Amino acid sequence: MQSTAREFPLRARRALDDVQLREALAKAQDGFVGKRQTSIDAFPEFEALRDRGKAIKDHTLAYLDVYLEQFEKAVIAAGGQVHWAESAEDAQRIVTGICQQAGARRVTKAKTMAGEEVSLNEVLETAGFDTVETDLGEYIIQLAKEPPSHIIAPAVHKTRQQISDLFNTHHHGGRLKTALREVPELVDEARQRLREKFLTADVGITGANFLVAETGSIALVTNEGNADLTHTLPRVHVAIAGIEKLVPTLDDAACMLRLLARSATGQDTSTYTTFVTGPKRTGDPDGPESFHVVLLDNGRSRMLGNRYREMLRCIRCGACMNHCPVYGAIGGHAYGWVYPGPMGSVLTPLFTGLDDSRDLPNACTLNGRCQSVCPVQIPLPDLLRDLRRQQFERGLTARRTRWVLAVWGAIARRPRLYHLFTRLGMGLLGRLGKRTGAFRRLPFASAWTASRDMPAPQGSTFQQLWKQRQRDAR
Amino acid sequence: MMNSTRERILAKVRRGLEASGQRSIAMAHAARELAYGEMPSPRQPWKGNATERFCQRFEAWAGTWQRLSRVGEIPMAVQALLGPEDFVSVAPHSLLRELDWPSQMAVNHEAPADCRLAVSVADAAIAETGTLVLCSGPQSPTGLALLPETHVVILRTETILPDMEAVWRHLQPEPPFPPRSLNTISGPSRTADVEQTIQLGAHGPRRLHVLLLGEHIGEMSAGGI
Repeated sequence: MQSTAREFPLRARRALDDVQLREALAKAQDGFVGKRQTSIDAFPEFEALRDRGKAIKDHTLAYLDVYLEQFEKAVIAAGGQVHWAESAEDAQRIVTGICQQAGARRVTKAKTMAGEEVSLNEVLETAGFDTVETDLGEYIIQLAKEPPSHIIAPAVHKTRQQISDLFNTHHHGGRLKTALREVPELVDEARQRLREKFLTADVGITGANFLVAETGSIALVTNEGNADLTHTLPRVHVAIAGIEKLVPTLDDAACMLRLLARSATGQDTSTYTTFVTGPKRTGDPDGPESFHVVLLDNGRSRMLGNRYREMLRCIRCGACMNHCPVYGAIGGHAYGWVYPGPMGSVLTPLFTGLDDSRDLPNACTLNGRCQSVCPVQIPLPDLLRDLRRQQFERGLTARRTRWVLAVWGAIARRPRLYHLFTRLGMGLLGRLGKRTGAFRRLPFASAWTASRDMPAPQGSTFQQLWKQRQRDAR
Repeated sequence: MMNSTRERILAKVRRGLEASGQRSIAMAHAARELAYGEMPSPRQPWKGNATERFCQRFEAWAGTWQRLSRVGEIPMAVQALLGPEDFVSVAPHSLLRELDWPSQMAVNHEAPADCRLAVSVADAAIAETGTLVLCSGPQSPTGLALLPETHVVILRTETILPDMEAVWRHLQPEPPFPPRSLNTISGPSRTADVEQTIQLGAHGPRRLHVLLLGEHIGEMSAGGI
């Protein structure tokens, strides 16, 4: 997918003005946060589980070459094929080639973020394949021709009315007399439409939530069952996954699944968790004739050698965005690429370049909630701060910001000067704002005062209060 | 071409890790043991016996269950779930083939697209999460768990194990493990993609019903039906 992260400020502003979007986001965020909390309250050792999740991923990444080769060997032993994709173009070529070789007409897809990353839908459609997303949320946004706005709930920004309109337009040519209004009606309609696609697909494409090195299995997690229909009914199954998706053993997968389900949707487990190993066997009544795994690098191996290796622990649960006030205000589309929220603000600059996504690391309040809920303890605020530092060093920060930061730095490094300025500044502002207790407008701070009043400082500075207190204590 | 891409990626990975040359799986496994392998994963604590725990969690997923006192009761129990026009797709499983299916019931052993009700046999179940485990194989088409409106699963109580790790230990000695598709299923298919409202019957079965066979369930009453 082409990144439009450059337009972040414009898109964010537009999102803030979109009342429907803000309502949808508020509702979703409350739901996700509450459900996760309830499930974790019922799991006393959740912190120990997070420690273990981090340990599993850290270990796997430290031996990634070994586990990649072990996985490859096991897939081949089970009768499958492994393809290595260094770039998005590699992955596109490999998957298109498999579909062409299969003489495919229709391709069903279960949600895959790696697939989004390499624009699989666009490429397959251009190559002439009837490509159908089968996760209900992905299907809705495919009809709307939009990218996902959340990695777990891709259509989280869509209201029931908007979905009803989309179904009417695309399924009934806009001629439906009584619109589908209720949730069961909408889900049923999608079920019927998509059932036909499942049954007539030639190739099924899925992602993989985990790759299990010891058995060559891929783990697939859904609540709808769409991934299972996608890998069971067509003649060919293709799974595409980033190389960081590995875990060493089935036991490790069991542990990671406990973390994933709780962090993503607040469930103890997802409704369908499936381990797929190779194609149909002799005597099997169903399953695909061939099974392919596409291992995607696309910049991941580069991250192993620096501090962003920590980001490769990510299991794509979405907890960071569910707990992010910035994501909660603007939604996923403003971020301009596949991955939104805190994890996206780290990944997008790393995958698509810092120049094109300079606003993302700065669209963060550094409140740290993302890190505290991350199932594999990724220090997202630190990584974002690190990206800011890189921007500053490479001169990508806006000139005015650099100038202000330079002045600030010069003063903050000289305690006496700093105390003098704060004392003078506070005194001045305190006197000017004495009458109303707040400022409605301030020079150089119009962005702040445009939507709220700036309280006038009162009394003494923190340093003065501190000294006073020390004296009183003596 | 493909091979050189493979080598390039592995070389980049090794460079990133500052790993010199080939490292063995044994080395990786030793490091895993040291890092965390000796300790088991924390899991959801629960009290009581595994069957009770399974049933309680399974009900929480909107699954239903009843107990049978012997295998011969399966056809009658299935018939009670059947609509007037429905036919039954029965897994080609040795346990089910031997049964006396009533002549008025239309029984087949495939997984047809318009399947209304299907019967399969679970290989195991997980008490921690209330989850059924079904392994694909000659006796167990995966489609039967996905295509019907109602999925009926026979579960022997002695195969209800505490957690997923125990399931691996239980199934691993059998040679074709892991099967092509190892499905763990917790309740009927569902979605929350329309306004975060949970709706059952997204793509898979709308109803999931377990017929329990075995000991230790005498005092328990059927749940959710």
